[in-house]
Amino acid sequence: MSDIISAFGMVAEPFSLGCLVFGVWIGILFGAMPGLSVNMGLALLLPLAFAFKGISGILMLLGIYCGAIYGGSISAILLKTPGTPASVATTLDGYPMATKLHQPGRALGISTMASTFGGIFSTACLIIMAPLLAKVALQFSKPEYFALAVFGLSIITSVSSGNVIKGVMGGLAGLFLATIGIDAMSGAIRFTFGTNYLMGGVSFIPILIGVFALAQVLQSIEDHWNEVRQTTRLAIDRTLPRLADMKRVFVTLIRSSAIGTFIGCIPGTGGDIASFVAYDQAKRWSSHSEDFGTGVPEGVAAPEAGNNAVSGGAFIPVLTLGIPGDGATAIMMGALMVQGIQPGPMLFVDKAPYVYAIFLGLFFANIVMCLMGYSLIRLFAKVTQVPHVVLLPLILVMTFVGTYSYNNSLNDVCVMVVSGMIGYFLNKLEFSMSSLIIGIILGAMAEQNFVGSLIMSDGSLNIFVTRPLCLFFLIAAVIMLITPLINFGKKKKKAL
Amino acid sequence: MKKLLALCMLVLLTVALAGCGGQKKAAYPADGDITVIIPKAPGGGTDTSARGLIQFLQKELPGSKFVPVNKPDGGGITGMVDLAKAKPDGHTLGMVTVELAMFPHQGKATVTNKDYIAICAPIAAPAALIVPKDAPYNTLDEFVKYAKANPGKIQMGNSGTGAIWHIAALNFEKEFGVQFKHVPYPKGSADIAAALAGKHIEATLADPSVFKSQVDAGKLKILAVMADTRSELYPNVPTFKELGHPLTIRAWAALVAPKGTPKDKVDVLRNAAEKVCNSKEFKDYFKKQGIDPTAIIGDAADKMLADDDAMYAKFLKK
Amino acid sequence: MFSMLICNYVVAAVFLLLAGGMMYGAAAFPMAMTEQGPGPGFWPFLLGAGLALASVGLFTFSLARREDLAMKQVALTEEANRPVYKAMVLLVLFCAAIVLLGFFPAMVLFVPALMYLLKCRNIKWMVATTAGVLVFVYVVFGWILNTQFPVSIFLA
Repeated sequence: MSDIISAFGMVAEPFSLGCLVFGVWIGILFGAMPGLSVNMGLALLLPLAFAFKGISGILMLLGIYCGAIYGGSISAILLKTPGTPASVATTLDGYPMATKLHQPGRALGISTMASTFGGIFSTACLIIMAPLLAKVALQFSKPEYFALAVFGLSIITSVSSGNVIKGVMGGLAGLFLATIGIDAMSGAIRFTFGTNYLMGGVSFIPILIGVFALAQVLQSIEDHWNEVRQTTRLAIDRTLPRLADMKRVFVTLIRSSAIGTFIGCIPGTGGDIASFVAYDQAKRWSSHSEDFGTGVPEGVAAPEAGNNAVSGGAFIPVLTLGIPGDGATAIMMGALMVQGIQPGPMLFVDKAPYVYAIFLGLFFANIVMCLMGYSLIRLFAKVTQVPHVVLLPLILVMTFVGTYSYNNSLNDVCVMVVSGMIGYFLNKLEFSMSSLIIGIILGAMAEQNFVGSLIMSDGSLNIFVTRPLCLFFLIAAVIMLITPLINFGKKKKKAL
Repeated sequence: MKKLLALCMLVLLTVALAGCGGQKKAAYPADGDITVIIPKAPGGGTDTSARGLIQFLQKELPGSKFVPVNKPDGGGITGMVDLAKAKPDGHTLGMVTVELAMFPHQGKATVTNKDYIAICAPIAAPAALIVPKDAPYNTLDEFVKYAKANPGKIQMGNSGTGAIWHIAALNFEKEFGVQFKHVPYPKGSADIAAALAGKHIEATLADPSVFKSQVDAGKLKILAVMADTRSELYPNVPTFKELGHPLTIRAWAALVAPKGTPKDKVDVLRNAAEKVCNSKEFKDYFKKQGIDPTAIIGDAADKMLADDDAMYAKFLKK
Repeated sequence: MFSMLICNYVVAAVFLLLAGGMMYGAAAFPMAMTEQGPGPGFWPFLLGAGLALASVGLFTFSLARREDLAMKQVALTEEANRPVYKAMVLLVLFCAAIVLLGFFPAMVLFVPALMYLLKCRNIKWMVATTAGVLVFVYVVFGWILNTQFPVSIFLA
């Protein structure tokens, strides 16, 4: 008990809280801007974190971490441009709600509420169930990761709002793009056409920015010429979520947050997978799944709760095992260690006040994020009122700047431009860009764990069916793939 | 017509602005920004060490400004190539990693250590043999005996086929005449740590810093390290050299300048690096993160790069 | 206007060709099972085969639904599409200008050009927007984040 009180004392200091607020603010900005990643923000502010004594620096980093995952939703909803890969799923219903339904405030409000809910839910799980979830996470070996990847890929059928076949084609193309470069499992160099640039694989962020942001800008140019008049003189709708929305979305929030926390605690998986799985599950369990993609509140709440729930979940392996779940948590682990706080099994024993301070830090970071979000929604939503003549060139320049600052590579910019042009045409032909992105994200995970499992089993495919957790996800994936076809068959029967 | 004129003025103005960059009339290294190209993504081990080193150097050389730039595309090769091609005026430096010694012999890169002048190497993580605490072997010899009795059974985790820890394991096999099952974990050492903790693999040869918390908690044990001297963080762990097998495989990262950089500028940097790498704060900074700090400066660093290049040339020639 | 039916056929054909290329490229790598698992050519070949299958599937599906799909129109050569294609050319020129003139000068030329394409003829707005974007990028990215933008190859 005294530990909790001393932790509270550490966190409640004005300077510490100030660092936290500053961190959340920076996080939201980095998250909202495509091309600026969480890791970049953390790495840039790390020297500052070291300079601050005690827990303040850590709180700042926690703020950046939570803020960035939320920040991505802002550009996703307003500009159909995910600021971070974890916000891709938010574009599916967020952007239609903001533009077709003219309710950007409502979309941003739901997103803020969902993100805060997800963050706090996962922090609660972290506090209550960390050792239990850590045990489950340790069960994950290569077969389980492969099964999870296949499960993730089965989402393609639900996310491709147009033609399922086209979604599958996009997904396969994405999977193939992920094979380009040095194959880490065999050492072979695949499909690089002899260039150094492709050795490290296809650059994911430039393609993401291209097929979403640039393609959308090109489409907007066409719409502008078609005089698709948006009644931009409409006042910003109310931002605080209505009670009706909150009731409707509640079950979705719980389900999505649970999914996000679980996926977060598995090392190596992150917000991108969590948001897609959450969106997919929300759609499947909904009574009106055909409406998804037109601007449904569950469609905004699910991915946002899912991706923010990863923040608490990712700390579970960090604090209990001392193993970082991804790049961002690895940076924060380093920061903790330099302050003399060694994450791992000994942490709860040696430095309990610091553990509670991290819990409190996560909790407050989410609260601050919520408050900041709501106070700034009106400001953000005004973006939709900026005339296209000014907005489109601005976004276009930002895509170039964002892509360039990601890797300091002009090659990336060219990739982005080409992907944007191709994306424009594919969008017109009703291909879903999300399936392409899912393919690229999951490609390495699927292939490397498939090959790795076969190495471990000496070539026997039995390994996939004898392990219970792996089998569970594979069966779930098959069910996911088959149900749309069964529903399709049922609909046809009804029509007859 | 007026619009065209206005536009041209604006263009000229920006070209002028962009070209200037603000020259200061001071002595090197305070006479302009020094770019440090880091061929890895932000947040990784190399990046954090590089940024830490740069911070300390900046304090040691007043007036200087080091600007880290991440160029991870192409697996880091693009960054290293850019560095080799940069103007050798002392204002472009970069980090290179042990992959520089391996890639040319694997056909993955055309740059070699001869394209750079080393300034210092702040980290040189040795390959450490790490096994679970309850494994039936407590020393290197017991491990080798077990491996000989069970060929191809011990699952040895590495960070990717053809990457440094895999090469270390292959070297081990050759030296001791044993056979492992190599299991690659391309996402890196953190995944290997998770796999060891979950008992999915039996051993690994890797950089011990990621495993520190597990070792300290008593879940894992380190049997030996492939280094010249014992690690400061694990003083009870013998080196392979002591046990009669002089294997030294390290994942180092070095701050280098492109070949042709004037000697006086290189010396300024080397002197500063010498003071920094031997200072207590520097050592503490790395030790707290579980990384063994090294103070390999100047020509010694050059030698390390050349030695490793020769070693990998021989080993990978087959 | 093109009908969705024709577009589907074209896309299916293009992807079929790409899939063929994938399988051909993958076949250059060993596919057999070794102690390192299946060879590096195995998975890409599988993907190429899958894509080929999907392309055929799309073709058959389009064939089966040809009446419905012929009704659906895709706007590719309408009046509103031409500014988009002009914008694409502009983008390529922008990339070239970045290399030749440096980032900021190229941007100063690009932004007004794009605004002109969007039917803007108001000089004040063009200058204001260009200046605003210039300042924003320079301050936030150039100064605070220390991003080093490409400089003209003539100056470097």
